[in-house]
Amino acid sequence: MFNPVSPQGKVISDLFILILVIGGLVFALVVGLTFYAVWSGRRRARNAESGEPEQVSGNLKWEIAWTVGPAVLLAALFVPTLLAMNASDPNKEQNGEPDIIVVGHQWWWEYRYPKANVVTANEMHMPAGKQVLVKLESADVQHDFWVPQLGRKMDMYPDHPNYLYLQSDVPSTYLGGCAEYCGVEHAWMLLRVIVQPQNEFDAWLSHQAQPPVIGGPVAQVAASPVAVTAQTGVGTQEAAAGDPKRGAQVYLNNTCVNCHAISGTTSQAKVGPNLTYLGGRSVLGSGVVENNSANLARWILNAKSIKPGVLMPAYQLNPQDLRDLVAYLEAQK
Amino acid sequence: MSDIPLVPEAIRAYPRLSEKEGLLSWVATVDHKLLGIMYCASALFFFVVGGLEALAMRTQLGTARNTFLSPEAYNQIFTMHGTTMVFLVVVPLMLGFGVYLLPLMIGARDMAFPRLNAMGFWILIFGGILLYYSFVAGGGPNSGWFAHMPLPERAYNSGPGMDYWALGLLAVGIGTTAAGINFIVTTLTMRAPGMKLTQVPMFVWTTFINGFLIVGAIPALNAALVMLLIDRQLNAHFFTPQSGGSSVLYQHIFWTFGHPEVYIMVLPAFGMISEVLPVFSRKPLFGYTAVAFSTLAIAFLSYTTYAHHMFAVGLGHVFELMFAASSELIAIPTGIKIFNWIFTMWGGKLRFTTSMLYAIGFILLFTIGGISGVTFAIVPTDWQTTDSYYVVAHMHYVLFGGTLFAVLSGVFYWFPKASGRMIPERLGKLHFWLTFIGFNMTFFIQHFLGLMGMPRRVFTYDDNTNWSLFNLISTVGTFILGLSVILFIYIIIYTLLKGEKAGDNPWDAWTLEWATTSPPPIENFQQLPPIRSRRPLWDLAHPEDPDWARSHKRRQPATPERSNDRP
Repeated sequence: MFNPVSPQGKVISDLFILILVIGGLVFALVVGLTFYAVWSGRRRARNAESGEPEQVSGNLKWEIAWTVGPAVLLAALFVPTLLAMNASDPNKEQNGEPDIIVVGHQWWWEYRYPKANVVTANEMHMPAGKQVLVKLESADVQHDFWVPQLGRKMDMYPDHPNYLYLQSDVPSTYLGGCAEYCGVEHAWMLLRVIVQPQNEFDAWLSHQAQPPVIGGPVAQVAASPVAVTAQTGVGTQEAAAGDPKRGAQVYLNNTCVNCHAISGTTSQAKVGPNLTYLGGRSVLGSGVVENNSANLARWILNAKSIKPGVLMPAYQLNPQDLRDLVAYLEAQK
Repeated sequence: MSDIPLVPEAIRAYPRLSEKEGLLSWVATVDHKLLGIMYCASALFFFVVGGLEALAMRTQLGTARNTFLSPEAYNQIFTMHGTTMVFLVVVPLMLGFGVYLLPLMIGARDMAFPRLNAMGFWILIFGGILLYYSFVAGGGPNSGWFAHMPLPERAYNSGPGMDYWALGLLAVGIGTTAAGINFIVTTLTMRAPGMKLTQVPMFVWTTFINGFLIVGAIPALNAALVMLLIDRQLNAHFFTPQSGGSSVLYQHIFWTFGHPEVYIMVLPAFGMISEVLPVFSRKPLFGYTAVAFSTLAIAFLSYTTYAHHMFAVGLGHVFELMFAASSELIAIPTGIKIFNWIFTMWGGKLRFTTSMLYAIGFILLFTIGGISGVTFAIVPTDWQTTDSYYVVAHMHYVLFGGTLFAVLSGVFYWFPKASGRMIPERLGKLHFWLTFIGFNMTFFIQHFLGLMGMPRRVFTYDDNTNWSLFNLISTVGTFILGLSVILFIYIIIYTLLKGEKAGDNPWDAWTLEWATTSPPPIENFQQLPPIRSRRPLWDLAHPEDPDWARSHKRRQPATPERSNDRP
């Protein structure tokens, strides 16, 4: 949170540093007084003079001083608190249509761009230098959206939506995570916010809005031979590549479609993450492993071996089907 | 000697088994001293259990992507660590010290309701056993110690763990409330003849006020637990938003209990510090009235600040500002206490016993916890720091660096009274330094982890810059703390077997518990000294300069003939 990239984040960071300085001074005062009292009390006790020290039992003036002092200090802190609240979390037009809707699920993130009719998962894209209104919802339990460099965290409830302004002036990938304990895999409910220059973001968004086209020999993707072999026990030579067109049939013929959606197909379920353009994402399982063919194959065969507790069941696919399915999903970039 | 009041005879003797009955005499006793010791001993037992859970958690978190514990196991362990430490260690310690010391400090024979006292203890223990039985019954509770809804609901949590959690805490809550009622009535009705409410030791004040906090706060918890049980067992919808309930409602109810609970766990600790510091500084407590009133202020304010646990919920700026203001207010009476304690030492002749070291350590560590606490009252910084490791560090500075250091100070101070034997100072000081270093190593660095973005309650984390290193340092600190606990148990056993005899008043202290033998007889006092001030034993030892002859209103040094003090 000390490297804020947004005006909202910077306000909080500055306020925190102010409190840190004031708190540091108060702590220094307490430590100084304590050590002086300890040091002088030790010396007095070592002095040869016996007898008890002066029996002082209070001093009204001093006591008023250390009541009023902190009171004034805290009252003074109240002003920057108020200003920072409004600056870091400005009032939102509750009726205005949000730019992005974030839905927390056990244990992944759904991102919807209602204006462009795009749905994606686990990697959020947003344009740089522009204030984006985000609507936060939850599909099941309580979650919390927190990207420290972008500003405040905000809880997500199934009860009611919350709104948040996000902004980043520096294109980059920002990491965060779910900050409210939400069950078994809370730790692997990580956030990746990819901030792009406006033109790149626009290109990404319009690309996402198009259903992916699969076909042609170009789209064939090489599956990593070693890992697939390890998982499936198939010889290296044949395992080299899969056929994405056949993979699409494998996808549609299996129970994948009961939970997942890919735009342009008949698969439109909303239980699990939307898989459209999965090949373009950099991580799987909301940040638990890198997105590559080997990991994707492992994930499909037994997601729980990568992310214990995940709700996706294990699949028993024959090696050829698995290769084709992986090729199909990875081909959508 | 005509003004020495005799302890009034009990109308009917309390039914007690004699010491010959052995173990049975502990089980059947209604004696406040045995019950107090049992509270503390069971708290020590649960502290070891909760500590082992902490060791397991820190081992898992020692490096990134560790697989020492499965996520399911980790989640049960962190839930039970929090629940155990709050409800079965810290609260029972506060109750145990109160039950043991309150009658002794006010010159009474026992608590006002001795049987209620015994019932409270055994119900609390029963609740603890019920909580841990869940592991045998098919899985422990796994929703964190505050169990935010709707995760503990049946739809997301089909195991029996949360049912045992709710039932166990209900039992613990009933036991705790019984003790709270007993504290209030005992303080009001059982004080020795002539002892005014303004003359009781500060620990009695804090325990008395704690009684009100308990009686006011626990019902809110019990209400929430019953609603959860009805939801889970009878398919109601209090906290299930998908079918018309409200998950935020639970937070309001729980934190109405939860914030006073924080003070239930710390007010008596303030009282202990207020007893220890004066004795080892050889001066009376600085500003008795201010300390008592600030305790009262904290108790009142604690009911008005609960929503600072909910600033991330999104309840609106006006609501949040109200609670920010009340949360900042509560820092003022807390600050008053810190300064009063420092000025109790100021100008004194300090004796650096282990107990005193812990008291000084308490002042420093609790101040850190208090200052980091301001971050949570200031709303925007709370939005960043809440639910991160920063809050984990903060609350351990308050509850471990604060309460537990005060309790250890109290243990080293009153152990000679309870056992009749002195703890060897060399071992005690070794224990202090081990604990002090281990504690700071474990928890200080967690502030940075939180600010770097590590959320709390994660069973593992990705290998981000420095996260592994900082977590490893924290883990090493935990093992040093583990050593200090082993040393503590050794110290207790060694002292019980071989410690030197303590005598009635080894510290030359001034409150009534030191006017009887160590350990005190079953009826506590054969006779009481005259009580004309807050320090009856000082008056007895210094007839030429008694407290009651001095005005408390102003800074008033001793009588002009001060030079005639003890030669």
